[in-house]
Amino acid sequence: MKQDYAYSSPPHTAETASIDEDTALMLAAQQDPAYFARIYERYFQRIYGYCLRNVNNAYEAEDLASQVFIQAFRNISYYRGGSVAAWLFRIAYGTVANYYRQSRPEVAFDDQLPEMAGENTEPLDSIMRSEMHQKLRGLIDTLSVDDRQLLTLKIEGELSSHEIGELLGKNPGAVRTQLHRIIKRIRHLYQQSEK
Amino acid sequence: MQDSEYQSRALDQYFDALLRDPDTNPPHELDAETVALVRALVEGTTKAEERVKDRVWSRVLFATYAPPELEPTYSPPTIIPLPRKQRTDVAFLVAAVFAVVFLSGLFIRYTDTAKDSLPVYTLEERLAPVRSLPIERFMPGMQQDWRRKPALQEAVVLSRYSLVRMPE
Repeated sequence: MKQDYAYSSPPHTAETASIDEDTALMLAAQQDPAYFARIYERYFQRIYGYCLRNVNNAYEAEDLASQVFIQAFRNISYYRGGSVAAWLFRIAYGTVANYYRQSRPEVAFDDQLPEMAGENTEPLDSIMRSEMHQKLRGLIDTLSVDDRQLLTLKIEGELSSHEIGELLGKNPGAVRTQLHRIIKRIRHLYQQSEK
Repeated sequence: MQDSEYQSRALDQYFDALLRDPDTNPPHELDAETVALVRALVEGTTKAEERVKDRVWSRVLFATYAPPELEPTYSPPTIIPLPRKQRTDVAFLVAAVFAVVFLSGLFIRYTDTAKDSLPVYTLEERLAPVRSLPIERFMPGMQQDWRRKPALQEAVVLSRYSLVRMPE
């Protein structure tokens, strides 16, 4: 059964006229919480993916994603404009960091992905790609917490280096340099694993 | 701007472009291996099913609108130590079992020894007249003629029946 998160476009007011749709939705949700459903619909995959890549456990990721949206919903009145993605991912970043501070169970990634959407490619190609993705997930898991957080903010969170910098308190150039270093490291580890 | 800075910027831009459009062309600053790696990383992004999305949304609504007393609270599992009394009981049980086994062994050994120590007489021996009984030791004056006294013979035979060891 598909749930209805629907709430049509935010009302056009003088305040929402010159801002992007996400910001308008957030400002509308401050007046009428029903608009938060649209925010949820737009950001769920990114938040969930970010949590999942970090904790490698579907059930934990679901729990963390719930916590993120619950916090966002409850604190929506504190939103003061700006990037909605950055605002939501700041909550997500804190939630995941909090999870890391607690004892992090070591769970194999593949054992805990019961409800992933399938990939529609040729069987052999799909297997090879799946193996590569699996290997890459394993390599990401060997990164430090900071590196993993930054990489997942980029890949799953789909944040720009400017947004990540804002979130982590770094300038965009430093974020780009760190991302480049992470990719080089993964590449090096991948090449080593292939030998 | 240094070469590595160009590469960092190109990499970042390629990530952004690829996340928007999977068929975007890679920038020439990046080598083929890095491009393949970035593509694989982006392709490997996770997509949750609709029912996961619905479930999380239900939890959000429940947590937001349910009265506080209905809100599920997570309490971490606590390890309850085994009560000391229970450990004592287990130790006592083990000791009791050992004691029973030990005492049973002792009893079996004792009964075997007792069985071995009892004189075994055949029926013939029991009914045969006793000739070697040193009756003179406890019945002085009866040395010569005790065999002629039937009552005394009967007593000796009866003592054999009742397995009472007669003094040698």
